[in-house]
Amino acid sequence: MNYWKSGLISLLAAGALLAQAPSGPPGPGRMRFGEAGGPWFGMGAGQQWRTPVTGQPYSAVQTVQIQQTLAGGNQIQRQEQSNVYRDSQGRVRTEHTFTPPGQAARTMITIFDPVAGYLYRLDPQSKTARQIRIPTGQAAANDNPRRRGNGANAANTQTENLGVQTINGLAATGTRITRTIPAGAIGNVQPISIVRETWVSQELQVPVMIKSSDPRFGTSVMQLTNISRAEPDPSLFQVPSAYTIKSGPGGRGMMRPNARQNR
Amino acid sequence: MTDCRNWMRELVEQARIGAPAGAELAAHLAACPNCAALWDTERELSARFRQIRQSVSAGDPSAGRKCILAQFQSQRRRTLWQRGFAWTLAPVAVLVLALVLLAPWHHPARRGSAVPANDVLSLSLPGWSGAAEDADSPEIGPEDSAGFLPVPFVPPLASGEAVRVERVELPQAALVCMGFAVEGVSQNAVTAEVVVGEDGLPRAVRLPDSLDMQDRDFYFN
Repeated sequence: MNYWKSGLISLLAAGALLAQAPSGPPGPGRMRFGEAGGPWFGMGAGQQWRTPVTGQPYSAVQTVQIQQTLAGGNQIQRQEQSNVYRDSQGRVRTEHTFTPPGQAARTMITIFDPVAGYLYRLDPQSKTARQIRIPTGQAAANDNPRRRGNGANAANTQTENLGVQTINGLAATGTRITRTIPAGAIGNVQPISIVRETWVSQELQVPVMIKSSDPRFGTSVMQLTNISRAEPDPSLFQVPSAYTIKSGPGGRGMMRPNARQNR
Repeated sequence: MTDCRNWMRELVEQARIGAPAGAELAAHLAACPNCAALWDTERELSARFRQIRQSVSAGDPSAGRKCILAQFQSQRRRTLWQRGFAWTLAPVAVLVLALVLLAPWHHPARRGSAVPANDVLSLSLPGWSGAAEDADSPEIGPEDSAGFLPVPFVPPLASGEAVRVERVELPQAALVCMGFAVEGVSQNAVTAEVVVGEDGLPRAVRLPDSLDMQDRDFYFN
């Protein structure tokens, strides 16, 4: 009788596959455009890229508010929040909380550990940690100062120095970059103006505020708030013992900012 | 005849219990051939009944074994038939599953969900010559070795700004709105990996191929 049941179940399973809905909700890690962002992946999915900075510990709350106004006047708004910790050795822990539409809020934790040479991506729900090797030479590539527009598009770019202001308790240097997409460049009838204003703490060497306005995507404001200069708890940069560490491929598909100049 | 009818009850009863005929009944049987034949028949029938009754009540081993064997053979024939049917059904089920998995309609491109976009679309920068120094996102380059294309005309990253990659499902129109030159036509959303700055806005897009998507899924599961 069991053989009969197993055979029947197999057929039913096949039928269920045949009858499955043509498009289901996005699975883990698959978000539709405009959804709250996932964890701080790196240039290769699952990897985090940031410039290691030592001797300047801090912890802060990073908020991002994005607003897009549609043609009919409707608006799309979303907000993301992350807790960021960096210790004196340059290790960074990011706790990113996001709420996929129709789902419960999720928190993903990444530990960027350039000392050990690994990035850990922690999933509090499954108590698993993905260990991803940080490719060597990344920091050197990031140190390259080539971060300016050039060539034909440089002519469409204006850079303004906004001086130094105190932003959220930190002295920050402001820069406003205005870039114009000429009419017809991407099929646009009229020129498109893109403005990005960044305030970077020279002490922490991270942006404390970024204001972006791009008609293609909307406006965005990123702020670093509740900034503390105290050394974070070292345990924050360790994978908890209750987690199962799984090794992941490292380095493959890694895209580095400034990669172009290396070619 | 009247005499025979009078002896009938005693004849049957004596035959049933297996007792010998009484003197008077014996005299009648000797004189009446019909009743004598009936007497013999009744005695033989009663004897068979007693034999059967004794077999059942005494639990005759041979009879019980035969009974059990008969039942077992019957059950075994049924089981073999069911097993044979199930073994026939199992390959059919596997075949159906294989057809489902390999069938064209199972391919994501046919069912309306996001697909590895390289199967359908390809991206390029509008007017990119490959040699000109006109990259819009000089931090990323015209096309990174990992296949990321910078979103045209996006301002450069701030110093110390971190980036992340999100896997999203993009309609073709979104790619066009970003400013990419899109080759191919897809009615469905395509799966893409998007480099996002700290302001949450896209900076580069990559359309991973199927093999790479499997590799990438490692990170998301």
